[in-house]
Amino acid sequence: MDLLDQPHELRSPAVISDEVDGEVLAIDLDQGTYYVVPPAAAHVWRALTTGVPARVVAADRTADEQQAVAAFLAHLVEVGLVRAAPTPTVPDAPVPWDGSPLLLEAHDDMADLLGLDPIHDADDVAGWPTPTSE
Amino acid sequence: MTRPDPDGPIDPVAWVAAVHAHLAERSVEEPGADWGTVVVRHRTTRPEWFGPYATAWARPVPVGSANHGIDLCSGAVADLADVIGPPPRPGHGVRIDRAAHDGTVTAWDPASGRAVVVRVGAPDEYEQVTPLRPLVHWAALADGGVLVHAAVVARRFGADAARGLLVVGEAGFGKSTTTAAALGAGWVTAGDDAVLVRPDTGRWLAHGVYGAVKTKLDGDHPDLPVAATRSWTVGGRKWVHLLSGTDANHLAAVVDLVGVVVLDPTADPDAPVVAVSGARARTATAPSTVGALPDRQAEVLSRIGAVCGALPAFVLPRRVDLTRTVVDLDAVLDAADPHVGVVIPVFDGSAFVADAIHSVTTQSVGRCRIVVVDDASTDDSVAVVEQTRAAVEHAGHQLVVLRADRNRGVAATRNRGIAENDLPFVAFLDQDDAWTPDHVARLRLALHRSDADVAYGRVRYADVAGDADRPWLRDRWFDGDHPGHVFGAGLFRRGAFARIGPVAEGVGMFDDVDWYLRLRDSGLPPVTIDDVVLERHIHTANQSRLASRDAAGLLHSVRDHLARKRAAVVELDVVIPVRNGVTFIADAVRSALDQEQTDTHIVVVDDASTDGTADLVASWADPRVTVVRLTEPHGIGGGRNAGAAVGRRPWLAFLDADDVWPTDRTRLLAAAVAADPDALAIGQVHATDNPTAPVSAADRAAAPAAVLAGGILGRRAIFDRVGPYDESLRVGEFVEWLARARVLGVREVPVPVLSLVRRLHPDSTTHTRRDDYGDYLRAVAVVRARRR
Repeated sequence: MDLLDQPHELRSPAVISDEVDGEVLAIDLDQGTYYVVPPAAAHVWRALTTGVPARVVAADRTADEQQAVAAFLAHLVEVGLVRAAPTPTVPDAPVPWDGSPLLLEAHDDMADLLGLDPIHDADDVAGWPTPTSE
Repeated sequence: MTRPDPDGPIDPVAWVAAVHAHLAERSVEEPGADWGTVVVRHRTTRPEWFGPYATAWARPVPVGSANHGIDLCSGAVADLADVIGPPPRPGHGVRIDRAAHDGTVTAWDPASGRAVVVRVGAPDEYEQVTPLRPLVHWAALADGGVLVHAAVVARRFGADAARGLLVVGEAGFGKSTTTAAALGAGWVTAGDDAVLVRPDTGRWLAHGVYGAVKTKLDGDHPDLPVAATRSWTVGGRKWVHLLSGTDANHLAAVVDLVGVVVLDPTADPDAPVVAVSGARARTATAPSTVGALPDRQAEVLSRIGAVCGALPAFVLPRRVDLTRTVVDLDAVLDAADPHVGVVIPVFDGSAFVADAIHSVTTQSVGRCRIVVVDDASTDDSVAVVEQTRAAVEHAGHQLVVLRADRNRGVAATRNRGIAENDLPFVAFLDQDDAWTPDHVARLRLALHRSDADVAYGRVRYADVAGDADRPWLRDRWFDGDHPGHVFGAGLFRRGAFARIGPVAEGVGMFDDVDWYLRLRDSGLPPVTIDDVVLERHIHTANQSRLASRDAAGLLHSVRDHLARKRAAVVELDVVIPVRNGVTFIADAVRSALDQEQTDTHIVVVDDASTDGTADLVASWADPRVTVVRLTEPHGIGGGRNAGAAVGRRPWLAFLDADDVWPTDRTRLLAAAVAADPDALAIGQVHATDNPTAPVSAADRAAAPAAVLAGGILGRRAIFDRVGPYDESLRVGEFVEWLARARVLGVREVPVPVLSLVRRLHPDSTTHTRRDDYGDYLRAVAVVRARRR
């Protein structure tokens, strides 16, 4: 399937993320890298990481903007923040975006702290540790 | 017995066997000795000569004891009659020493355990104080140890142990005097002249071999403050006092060494005790140790190096008043064998906590107060802890149990333990983990050799559950070891928690990651070591298995870190003067641009290069880099002045074109002087022929202060106030500038951070400008004139 039509989701549980004041912070616990997505790109991030295909996000955009969304998604795939999702999500409304650059700021300065302890480790199949008796 | 063939090559094994058998036939048995690792049985044909040896041993062994490792026969050369030829050369593992000065032959065949000593005449008064040194030396080496020329003074610790100091210095430097002073203050000794030191499960033990303590004959030193079994004088200079081998109040059979004391009679008698490097301790120990031993010097040096490399060392001046010497020894012991508050948070940990506590009480150094904080367990954890109390106290440590009224979580539990601690150091251990036996020793040494207030080591994971019980955990965690960014892998000076703040209570299981993030963002980073100091046990009930619930806490911690990072951006002008540096300039510029948390503007000042350096830099067309071209050479000071005039940013730094900066130097130096606008941060420098290669932890630890233009960081206002570099000096310009800064009251803050990596190459300024060394003298003269 064309990358533009492929829905994606966060590569949880190894990737965790949240948003404060519109700015996204995501941590890749495998690598210890953390990423910042500025508020202007946060809606596009949220759509692309919750199953909205890039083609839907970029619908009715200029060619440059479509290109920017595709490149942003390719970057997310490349660094391992997202993986293919089984089913696409259909947004209620067009994804808000003023066309400003879709930045993904990567920080490696704490990789040894964040990435190198089993308590941050998770297995793709078994998933994150789960309590046995809850 | 068999006489060796007089015409054939003499076999040392046969020679030792022949002499041994010949003497044994005619001998009587004397008391033997226990040298800590080997028991010696002693028979002699000359009891009138060798009998007094029995009183010299710190640990004599009665006649007839079994299980000896060395079977010694002694006698006179004359007793050998003509049936046995002269000693052969050493060989086949047999050690042979011929001491020409007193006609003594000592030989040992380790394979058979036979040893022989034959002398021309009776042992002299010195030999009766420390007999059979060659044999002790060989036995020590064979057991991984070394016979060291040193005294050992110690304090009793717990019911069975003594913790003490190796006191080194040449003859006449005060080993005996120091020992006598310590005995008078209730310390014990393992000998004042020669002790057997050997490694044992992560620690260094000193075994008392000789029981003698000497005092001076003249009146300015006190008599031995304890009773001796026998005293006599040697050389008209000293009294020798033999302590009784059963007098455990004064003579210690074995001492856990926790530090080295270097005696320095040339130091100012009122100087304070200072910490020194292991290299200094080795230099003080090696010559007189090696000089007194017959052979195998290289092995001895290497063992001494290992001892001095593992223990903190301190220099003691010779005090006029010996009571001050005792105060010094107490202070050194406090530093070398630190008082540590060990916080163990417990929640339903009855299955593990006794093992955790055991790993504290078996530490090689550290006087520990174990503070168990029970977080409202529902099992019998507290009772299990109480069952360990007798063992903890027997080993010389303390146990305090605190109980929470309700479950408050591990962070709050740690904080309560921290708040309770009034000891100089604090450390942590989770209920299901265990320290390695030298956890405290190694981390204390790392702190001793740095200015940091936190040290941490590495972690090994032990799998105590089956695969099925930990499907989430990958096998790779059980391979090798890993960095220990967890509280249990660290040792913390008490002040670290006042500086960084308490453990965050809102971030769940990631309280350690959060605290280490804050520590790293502070101006004083931790020191790390490559040794494994903690074993973490992975089992089905690990609290960390529940970590998924705490992802929000981790995100919160990282967001706070990001905010601190953004707030701490350093706006920096970097001036790089360069003359014909086309080979190096790219590395220097890149290292300046790569500075973390720094908004950098670089001014490359080309000092009339003829190799196209300026064109190269201009060709990069990097908006962050400005090129200033000087048409006439102005020298390095002139280049720096020209570059400084271009920038306007609040921080100003200089970098030589052939050097590079570590990426974290600006961030850490700036943080260290953030609160003091009038201070220069001075890091550490490392020199290498490959500056862009990573610098090892050992090189970092050994790096000297970087009192160089490229090694410091300060605000532009300081440079404006002190004024430009003296352009008339081709070298020494920084010395002259710094001297002016000092006169103006600019403070220098040493920061334990590598701030400059210098490139060693044939074109380095210091190699090519020998003619300019006169400028150094001029710089110094300028400084001195100003001072007057």
